[in-house]
Amino acid sequence: MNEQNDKQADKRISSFLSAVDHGAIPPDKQSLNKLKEQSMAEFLASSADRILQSEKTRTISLWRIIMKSKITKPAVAAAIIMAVIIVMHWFGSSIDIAKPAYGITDLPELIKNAKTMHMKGWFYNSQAEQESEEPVKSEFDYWFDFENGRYRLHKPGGIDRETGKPRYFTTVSDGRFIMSDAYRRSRDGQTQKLISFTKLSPFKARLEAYKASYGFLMQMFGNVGQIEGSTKIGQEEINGVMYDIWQSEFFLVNGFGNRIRTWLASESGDIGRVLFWQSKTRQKDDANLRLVFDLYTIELGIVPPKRIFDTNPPDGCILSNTKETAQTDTLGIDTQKACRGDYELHAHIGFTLKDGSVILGWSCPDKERTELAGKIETLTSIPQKPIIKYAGHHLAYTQKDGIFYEWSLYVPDKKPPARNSLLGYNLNIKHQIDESAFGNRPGSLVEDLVIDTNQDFNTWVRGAMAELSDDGKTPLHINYENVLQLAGKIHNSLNK
Amino acid sequence: MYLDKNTERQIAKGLQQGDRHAWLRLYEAYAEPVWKNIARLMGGDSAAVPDVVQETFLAAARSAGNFDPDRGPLWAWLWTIAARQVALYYRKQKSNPLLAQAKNWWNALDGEKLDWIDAKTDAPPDILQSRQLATLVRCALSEIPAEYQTLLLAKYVDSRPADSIAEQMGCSPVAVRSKLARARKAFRKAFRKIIRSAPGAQEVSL
Repeated sequence: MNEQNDKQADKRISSFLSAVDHGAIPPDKQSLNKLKEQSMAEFLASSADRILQSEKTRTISLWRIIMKSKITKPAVAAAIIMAVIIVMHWFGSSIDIAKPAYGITDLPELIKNAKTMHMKGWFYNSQAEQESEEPVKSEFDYWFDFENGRYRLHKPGGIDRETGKPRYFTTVSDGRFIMSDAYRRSRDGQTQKLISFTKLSPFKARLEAYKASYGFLMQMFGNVGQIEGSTKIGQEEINGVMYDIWQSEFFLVNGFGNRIRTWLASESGDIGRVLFWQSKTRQKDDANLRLVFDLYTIELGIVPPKRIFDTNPPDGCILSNTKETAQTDTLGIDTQKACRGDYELHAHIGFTLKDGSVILGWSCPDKERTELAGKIETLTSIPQKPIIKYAGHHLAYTQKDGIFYEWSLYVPDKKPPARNSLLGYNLNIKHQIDESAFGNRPGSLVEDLVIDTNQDFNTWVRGAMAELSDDGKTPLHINYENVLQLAGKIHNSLNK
Repeated sequence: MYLDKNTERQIAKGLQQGDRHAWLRLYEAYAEPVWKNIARLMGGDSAAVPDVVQETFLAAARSAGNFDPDRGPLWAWLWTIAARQVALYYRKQKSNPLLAQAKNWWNALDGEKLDWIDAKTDAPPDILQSRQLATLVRCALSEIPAEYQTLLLAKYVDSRPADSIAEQMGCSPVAVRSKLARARKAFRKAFRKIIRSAPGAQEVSL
């Protein structure tokens, strides 16, 4: 009887306390990813600071060493001239004078095919707006060179509590190193800027550049379905160019209503401006939209300014590490750091194909066992209603530094919606041993890449397989057509 | 996902050595749970949630090198920092109109309100789903110690069994049950204190 009363009381307390879930916003992946970099820089800086207390380090500038040498200086100059010629050749040949008229549905393709991109605009801070003050706007400036994995992101990251002004962060990738900055308060109360470096492989650099740009544009133009409903609401001339103004309104899977207004030149395909609003709440009838950003510059195929991707640390900052001591950010498992004695399961990279099937590269490093301690058997869509189950099938495996990487194909049991109508996929793991023995287990896949074309497949799927293989090669039978055919056959057999 | 003791010790060692992978493992395991609980304490509409999550992890990153696993599990250490940031946020708010509104709403309610707090009777569903109750519960939770916040949210909101919470908290299931009793009491006390401070509130006995 007492036990029943306890259960009843527990149920009541649970109902009472669960009120805190009323309207609680779920974790925002983009914010958390940004914070991952910031907190990592802060952690590295603090760690370095502890070491620096006893030993002053001398900054080694690779550039200075090269330019001081009579041998390397002319070689570098020649390399720069060659690079400029190559860049001019590429961008020069990509200019096509006889272009057809462009409509709003051409936009995703235009953006995707750009070799370089420049975006500049204003972010509007929502917190100030809620307090009935003028929204605080802060400028951002992004440059991308996709083929060479170079990018520069200069953006606000929260408000400085002391000054009330936006804080700015700059992340630069030169294709080999990422240079990130962070703020730290010194013991005497001064704010200091800290610089840290991470080393990248060429594939990882290209991947990071692509994800950084696509993640931002995805919410606006990632789904052709959501811009197909756009209507032309007028025209405007900006700097002598006539732009059609397109507007669309749609709901994202996260429940927020959105409005995009895009200025697109029908003759050239140039984008003049993009305004993006979002509803203040997730209620479908909420017509109370707030301006989230004003993208007043989008330049595709532009030659980036010289030195925009330089990763030489600015004067006056504190280095938490150097390029020489930078850790490598790898797509797979860092064999120096892998806990070989533990059971671990890692999901490294995922791709959603145009038919909705998913390819996932994963590993379960454990040298002691011949059988896998765990495997990612199936996926389920997030959100789960209507539930879409993805049955897993072996596609290929690769091997790098003694670790096997499994590439599995997951085929949906029914036609899934467009990728950005899903938040992601739950990874359902089958454990061969007690699951508590696993030191690392992935829970979900949310940062997958959308693969729409043969070119996408070769660049990213085959590229990732080559990256996680000792010989840098991809299994020959893995190509776009074969994989789509296989997915189709599996789908048909599931339906039978 | 919460980490086992062995993994926590490896991470602690890595944090002391300034190993970025140790920080990444900590971050990947706990970033989402920290966000989730902070959002619960601060309310979903608050644009300040990302800021408080940011301050939490930056503060944690600064002191991670000094984390000592013998003094308690990683989660307890991290959530103590988060709870301090949430408390700081509430202190910086000179007035909270939502809270004042919620207190008035509570006072205007009919029914066995004290029995709802004591879990002696069921509160009506419309009350349980109201944003005013959410505001009052959040405020009461933010007033109690970080350890109690973790326990109450894990047990009653996440519906996790006592042995799983025990593993996360680094203590026995018996200790969890005993601490939960104290946490419930602290919560009831905090809740009553909040509603009692409302203008025109009826006197309630503790």
